[in-house]
Amino acid sequence: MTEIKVNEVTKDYGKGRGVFDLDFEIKTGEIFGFVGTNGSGKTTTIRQMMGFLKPTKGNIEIRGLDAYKDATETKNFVGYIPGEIAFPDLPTGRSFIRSQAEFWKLKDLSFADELVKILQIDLSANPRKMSKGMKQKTAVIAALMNDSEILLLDEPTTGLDPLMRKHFLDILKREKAKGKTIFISSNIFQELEALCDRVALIKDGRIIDIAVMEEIRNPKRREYKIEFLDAEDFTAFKNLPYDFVRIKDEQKQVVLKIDIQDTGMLIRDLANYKIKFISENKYSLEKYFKEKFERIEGNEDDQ
Amino acid sequence: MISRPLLKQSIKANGLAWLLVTLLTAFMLGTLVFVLGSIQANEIRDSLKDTIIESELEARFKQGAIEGYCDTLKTVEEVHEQAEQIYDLTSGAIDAYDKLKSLGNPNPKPFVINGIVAQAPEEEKERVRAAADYILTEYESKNPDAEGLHDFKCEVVIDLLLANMGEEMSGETRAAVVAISREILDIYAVNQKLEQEDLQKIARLFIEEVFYGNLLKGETEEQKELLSGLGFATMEEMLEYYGFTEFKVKTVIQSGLLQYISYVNNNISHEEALKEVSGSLVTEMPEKVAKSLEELGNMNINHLVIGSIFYKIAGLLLPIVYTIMTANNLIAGQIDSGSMAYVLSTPTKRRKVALTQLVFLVGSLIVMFLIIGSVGMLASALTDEGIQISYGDMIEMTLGAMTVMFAIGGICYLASAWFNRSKHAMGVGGGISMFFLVSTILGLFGSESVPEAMRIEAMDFFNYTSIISLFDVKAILEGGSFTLGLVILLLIGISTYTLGIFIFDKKDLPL
Repeated sequence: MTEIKVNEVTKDYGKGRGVFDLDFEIKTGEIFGFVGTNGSGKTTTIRQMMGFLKPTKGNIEIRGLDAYKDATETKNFVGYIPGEIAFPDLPTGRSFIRSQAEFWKLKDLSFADELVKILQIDLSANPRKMSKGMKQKTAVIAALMNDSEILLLDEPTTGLDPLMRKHFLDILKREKAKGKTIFISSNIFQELEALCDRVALIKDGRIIDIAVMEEIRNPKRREYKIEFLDAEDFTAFKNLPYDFVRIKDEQKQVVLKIDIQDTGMLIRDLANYKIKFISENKYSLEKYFKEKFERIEGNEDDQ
Repeated sequence: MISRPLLKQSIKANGLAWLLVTLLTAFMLGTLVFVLGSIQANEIRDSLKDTIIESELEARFKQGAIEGYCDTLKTVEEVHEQAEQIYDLTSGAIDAYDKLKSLGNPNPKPFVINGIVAQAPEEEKERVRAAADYILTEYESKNPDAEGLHDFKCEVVIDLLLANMGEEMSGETRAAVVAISREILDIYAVNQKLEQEDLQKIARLFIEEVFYGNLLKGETEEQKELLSGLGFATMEEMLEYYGFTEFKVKTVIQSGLLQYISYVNNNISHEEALKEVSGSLVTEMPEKVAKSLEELGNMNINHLVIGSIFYKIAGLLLPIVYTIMTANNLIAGQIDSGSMAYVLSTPTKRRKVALTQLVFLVGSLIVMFLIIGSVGMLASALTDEGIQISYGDMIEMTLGAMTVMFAIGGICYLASAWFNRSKHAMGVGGGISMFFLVSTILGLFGSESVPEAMRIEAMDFFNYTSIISLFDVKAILEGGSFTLGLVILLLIGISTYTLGIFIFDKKDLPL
């Protein structure tokens, strides 16, 4: 089932700024990553999902409702962490959380309390005087406390220390396990890599590619680096019919690619030689997009 | 219609500023009413008025004295020539008589008369003969000794003078002539000559002597008019009220006369000297001053201070500052900081947000002025004399100020809904509001609320550049129609609020 449907959305601010021809869908239970540099259009996209901005062209549907026209209705099942965190002028973090609960007409605050425990927040502080990390945590609680089925998170981990980032990502994984649909933007590849089902790369307002993380995490072809102890073994091996990426004679080292189902064959072959080490060159999202970039820029150069 | 949690947030965020502004402004009005009600501000006006009248009276005294002096001086000059001639004649006749008598002539009178007549020119002969005859007849009958001789001569001279000067002369003039002649003759007998200064001095002293007495009679048209104008029955009463004792009047006119004489002796024309010495506000620009005196009489200081200054300026300042800040905090400030995102990420309509903030802004202003107005009326009730402004007028002025704040709130609200940046919302909303307030301050100096003497007509222009002028305090206090202006203010408010809600509902929000 499709939770969020972005239909040919353009928000043109002129002078090439804005987002252009975005077109993708996010399915129920999916964690959808949105990665790009600062100013690439991540926030503009999320704001349109929230109905804060009206698309110049196209529209966004959330559970079949128009994100702009029916903005109020969609909020019944959407939670949001804004990119810039600033709280209303209230005396304590707790009064802010209570106030948000009132807006949601939320009576039961047990989930919010649980989140407070996990994130270890002191809610008696004035939200405007909190540290960046504290603010971020408070914002996380405000976004999740309603147990909304869809979460729109604009760079939610900025300001969190590595440990808290892990806690937060764990929370998101739990939410996903509950069947939540999550749209998360970030400029850090690694955290999306571990978390997301799919990640879209946006550059200058246009989506370059949408990577399916399963394919990156478990690619059909893997890359191995093998170094041999003896020169004879190295010479013998490099004459075998493998798909070598690189061969370094002086180090007696080869880098090869192999389909995952042929891994057994490789191990059998290697059993005949003395090897110094074998390691897998892990494929990463960053690598994936780098290759994409190179390909696109190569194409552009060709033209 | 309204979001309760948002209203709560707005109250928590802006409540302190509201309370402070309300208390301070209420304190301001309470104190003003208390002070004005206790010290009787109209006393100030009266004393101001008295001072003006006092200096005006002094100017009139001086003017009257100078006019009298000029007439007297003419008389003195006239009398002086004749008196000298007659005195010479008298002295000559007596000397000749005494001489002949000492030479043994038992009846020298005819000889002397003939001798004198012989020397006189033809057309004078008759008059001279009569005079000489009178002199010597008197001399023979009175036969004064050496000591009484001068007095005797004077008597004779004055008699002849009066006879010469003519038939119809009032007792007053007669007395004046007698006194003046005596002065002249006394000096002449010693110096054989009178300088112009001597004549001036004689005239001056004469006026100084008689002025107060004449004043007390209060007989001239002008004096009668003055009395009735100031509301006194007799001149004595008036002089006493303004503290003009005989001595004071004398001092005043003396200084005026000396000044005038010295001007004239330095070749300054009569008109100019008169203007210099007795030029008062009234003689300078009689119409204007008369009008301003009248206005000052009608002016109610309480109306000016409570109405035009407090309700239109001083009492609006803090509430306007509050409105500028709060209107900004309610919308633009929350968009600028991003905190608006939290409200709008809950199922709360934008229109509901805008309406809630509007209700808070307008509601807080209404309650603020209810409190301020109540404190003003309470203070009025607590003062003995009161401020002579009815509770009805106080209520109407409070409602009027509320309407002004409603409109200014609308302008600030619209600016806040229009701009996403605080600095722009505050700059535009605050700039316009403050412009109106400052215009009202400047316009006050050109308005009819201040007395003409202090008014700068050209500054009335500023009353046309401020919407606060639509709140006509003068009409409320002094009768007149004031509802149209307030209706226009209401319309300004309603349209700006409506436009503000509409814009906020439709615009892109960077949240």
